[in-house]
This record gives sequence, C-alpha cells and structure tokens, in this order.
Amino acid sequence: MPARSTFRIPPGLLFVLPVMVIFLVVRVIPSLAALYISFTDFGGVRAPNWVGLANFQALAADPVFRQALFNTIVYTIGVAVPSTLIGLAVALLLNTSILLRGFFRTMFFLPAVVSFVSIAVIWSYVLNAQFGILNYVLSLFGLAKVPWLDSTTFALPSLIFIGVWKNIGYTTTIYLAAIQAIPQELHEAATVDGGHALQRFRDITWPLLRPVTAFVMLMTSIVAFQAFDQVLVLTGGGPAEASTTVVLETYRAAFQFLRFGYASAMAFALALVIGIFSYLLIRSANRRERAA
Amino acid sequence: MITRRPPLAIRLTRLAGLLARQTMVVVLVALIIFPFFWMIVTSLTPVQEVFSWPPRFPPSILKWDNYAEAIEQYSFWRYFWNSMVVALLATVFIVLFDAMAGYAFAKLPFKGINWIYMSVLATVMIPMQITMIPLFMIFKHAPLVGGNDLLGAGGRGLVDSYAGMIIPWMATTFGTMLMREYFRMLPRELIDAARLDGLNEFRIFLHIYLPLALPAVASVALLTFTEVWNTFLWPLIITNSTDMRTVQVQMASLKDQYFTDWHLLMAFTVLSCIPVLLVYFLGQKYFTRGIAFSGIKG
Repeated sequence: MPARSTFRIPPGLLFVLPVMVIFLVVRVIPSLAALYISFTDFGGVRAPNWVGLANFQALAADPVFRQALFNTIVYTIGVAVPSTLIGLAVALLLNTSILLRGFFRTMFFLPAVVSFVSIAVIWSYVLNAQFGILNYVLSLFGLAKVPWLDSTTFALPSLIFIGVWKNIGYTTTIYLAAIQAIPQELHEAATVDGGHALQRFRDITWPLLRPVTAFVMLMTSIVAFQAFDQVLVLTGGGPAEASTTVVLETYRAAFQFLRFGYASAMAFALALVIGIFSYLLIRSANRRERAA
Repeated sequence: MITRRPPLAIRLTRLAGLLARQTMVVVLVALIIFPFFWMIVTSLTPVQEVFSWPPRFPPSILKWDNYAEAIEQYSFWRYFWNSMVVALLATVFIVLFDAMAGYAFAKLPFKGINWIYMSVLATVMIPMQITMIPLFMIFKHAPLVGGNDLLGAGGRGLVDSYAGMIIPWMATTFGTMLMREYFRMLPRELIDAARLDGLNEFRIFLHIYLPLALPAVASVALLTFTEVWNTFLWPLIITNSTDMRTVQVQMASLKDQYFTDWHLLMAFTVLSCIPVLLVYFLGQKYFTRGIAFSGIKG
C-alpha cells in the first residue's frame, strides 16, 4: 500500500500566490534583467554584449547625466524640505479652531488628487512668459516679464515650486493624522506646567512627530528623486538641460536612443543614490529618537 | 474677586490669533486653488482672448462650446475610454489580489509566510525606471499575443494593448499592507465557525471577511483608481498608436505641440480631472484614511 502523502498546500499560500506571481513578473524578474542589461550594450534588437562597467564609467563622464543628477538632487531637497515644513505648519493651523476647517482640508488636498500631467498643463499656462497670469500680476508691481520655464535660471526653481505646491496636501494629511493621535493629556499637562504654545510645540509636538517627519521627508524625497511627468511636460528638461532629471534622461536614453544598457545603468545609479539617501535619513532619525 | 471669563486683554489676543490663523489659511488655500480656477476660466475663454495681454478677466463671454470643440477635435472620449478601462480593471484586480494576500498574511499563517511578506514589502523599493526596459521587452515579445508566434516574434505583443497597460498594476504593496492590517483587527473565531459549517477557505474569505473589510476595500479601490488614472510614464512607453493612448498621454502630447490651443487644452484637462475629483469628493473619508494609514504605519 502506498504511503499517503501528508503534504497539502497550505490555503494561505494559494491566497498570496497571485500577488507573488505578479510581483515576480513585473518587479523582481525585470529588475534582475535590468541589472544584467546595465552591464551590456543592449539596444533592443541584436543580442546583448557584455561590456562590464563601461556603462557606469561612461555615466560618470557624461556631462548631461551629471547635470541631471545635480538637478535631481537640488529638486529633491528643494521639494522635500519645504513640503514637509509647510505641511507641518498647515496641519498645526488646521488643528486649531478655524472656520470651515473641513472645506480647507479638502481644498489643500486637490493638487495631490489630480495627475502631474494636468498640473503641468495648468501651470505652463499660468507661468507662460508672454501672456501668463503670474507675469501679469508681477507687471502690476512694475516688474518685467519673467521667462519662468524658458530660462536656465528659473526653469528648475519653477519646477520645485510646483512640486511643493502639489505635495502640501499630502504632507498636511499625514501630519494631521499624526497630530490628532497625540494624546490630549500631554498638552494639558504641559499647559498646567505653564508652557505656552511655542514651548509646547518644541517640547511635546515636535519630538513626538519626529518619526512622522522622517517618514514624510522620506516619501516626498523618494517621489521627487523620480521626477518625470512634470519635467517632460513643463520644460522637457530644458533649456539646455537646465531642468533635466535622471529619470527623464533614462527615458530618453532608453526609448529615444535605444541605449537600453546605458539607460539601465542610469536607473541603477539613481537607485543607489536613493538608497544611500534613505539610509542616512532613517539612521539620523533613529539616532535622534534614541537620544530624545 | 473671582472672574469666570478671562480678562478682556486675553480674549482680544485670542481673537486676534484666530483672525491671523484664519487669514493665513484663506491666503494659502487661495494659492492652492487659483491655478484650478484659472484652468476653468481659460477653458471657457473665447479663442481670441486666450493670448491677450493683459490677460482678460472675466472673458467677454463664457464659451461653453470650447468643451464640445475639445471633445470633438481631440477625440476626448477615445482617450477617456482607454483610461477608464485600464483604471477600472486594474482597480478590480488590485482589490481582489491585495485583499486575498492581506487576508492570508493576517489570518492564514503557514511556514515561511513572514518571509514572503517581507519580500512583498521589499519589492516596493523597485522603481519603474529600473523595470521599464525589461518589462517593455517582455511585453513586446510576449508569446502568442498581438500577432507574436510562440517565440514572441513577428507582432507587437502586448504593446498597444489594455493588458500591457494593466498587468503592471494588478497588485500593490500598499494595498496588501492596508488589507493585512484591517483583517488583523477582525476576530479569528468567524473562521473556525465557518469551517465547522463546512465552508471552503475561499468562500469564508469572500462571503464573511471581505464584506467586513469594506472600509479598507474602499480606501484601496479609491487610491488605486486615482493612481492608475493619473499614471503617465508606463502608458507613454507601452502605447505606440495614437488610438491606444490614455488621457494623460494624449494631454501631454497636446501640450507638446508647437502651437497650443490653450482654451481647448484646458477644457480637455478639466474633463480629464473629473473622474478623480469625483472619486475624491465622494469617497473623501476613505481616501484620507488610506493616506493617513501610510503615515501612521511609517
């Protein structure tokens, strides 16, 4: 008599199988393939040739990539830090007694709901050098027309401003949830001890929110590092690479010039930068938390 | 003397504080809303006034015909349909698969499940710009679809297909995490009772636990729909023909033209935002909860 197998597939495994298979196909296998491609001269048609570190060496010497990386880092810091701080300020404001609070909350979040493409379209009209409303408002104060999106000086700052504008609703929402989770007794105790609002913020709210601050910084940074939609639509990376970003250059290298190997190397270089940045941010947040 | 009310000076300071805060909020919100307001105004402006300096406000007439013209001239419904098919189908898959996985992670433990959960969490760190090239090649050479032979040659594969746009969005890490947290809060006893009644595991999930998790399902569905509707990079890559473009891709290409008809483009943009705005306004509670969840977990 054959021994009956006691093995049976656990039902839980069947439930997680779809997610596992999808992630394997659309995330894990492609990223391993991309790693391999980044060491080749693959262009999509002929079989790839192994070129070792040549793509990465070429990257290090490529002025366009260096400019893109520089812009991306400036953009990320320029977006993440103000988004976080303004989000905190707005959340604190909205947490006080204010008329029509719910309405304002809803409005703050609008830019976060609609796509970056539509936001880019809207802002490209508002910021238009010839007939944009912003230049009109400035002209009322006697200022000359500013080529917001067509000058090497202003293109990247304009993108940063729009990035912050889009983020505030998101950072505010996260902070509001966190602030409302702070036990009321802590504030009351501090009030009894004679602390005024600023002291209460410094001694209670800010330290308690530190993990949230780190999280908000991390999330907004990771998204900003990968800026693409708004850059392509608003400036196309120009003028003269003044506002180009790493993902925009990756897209161009891959799908305009069919340099798959080079583009993959670029994507991994960016991932490395994001990884190091995230590690440092999390480490410094943890250390401060322990010190507190 | 005992006074119940604080002295007048303090009350005045409080009032001034309230006024100051109220003013700040109003100014900030005005800055946030103004571009949207200007988009709507422009979408209703006659063509002669779109390029005028100084900008003309209010426009001489509200030209509602701009919308009809934008829909007609830019084949709006074609792109709207493409986006709707992709976003709705992706949402259905994500809700189902994320809920199933979240349920297993919360309620059906087996050996190695924690390892799997950690792996699922880890994949969130893989960005689109890394996977897009291999994904494009895999989809282009998918065997036996889009005119391809068994070896994936000869046709266009999944390029220019709804499947090509949906497959990368059939499961999310965020949704899996959110569903897992929600299912963990539900009692385990229901499973035992249902098993005694002879229900199979899938029916227990589908008929007992999933209905109890509807708030979480709503959060995942609303956030997913919005994200997929708004996504740009992947549809841009995987569509070749103009006909298969999503609303976002078409909008970007209209902006890219040498000459932009701003009044029509703005009408197109307004229309393209309506689905996500409806989702947000109607489901704001679940929407905000979903966003807040990510922050509290972090």
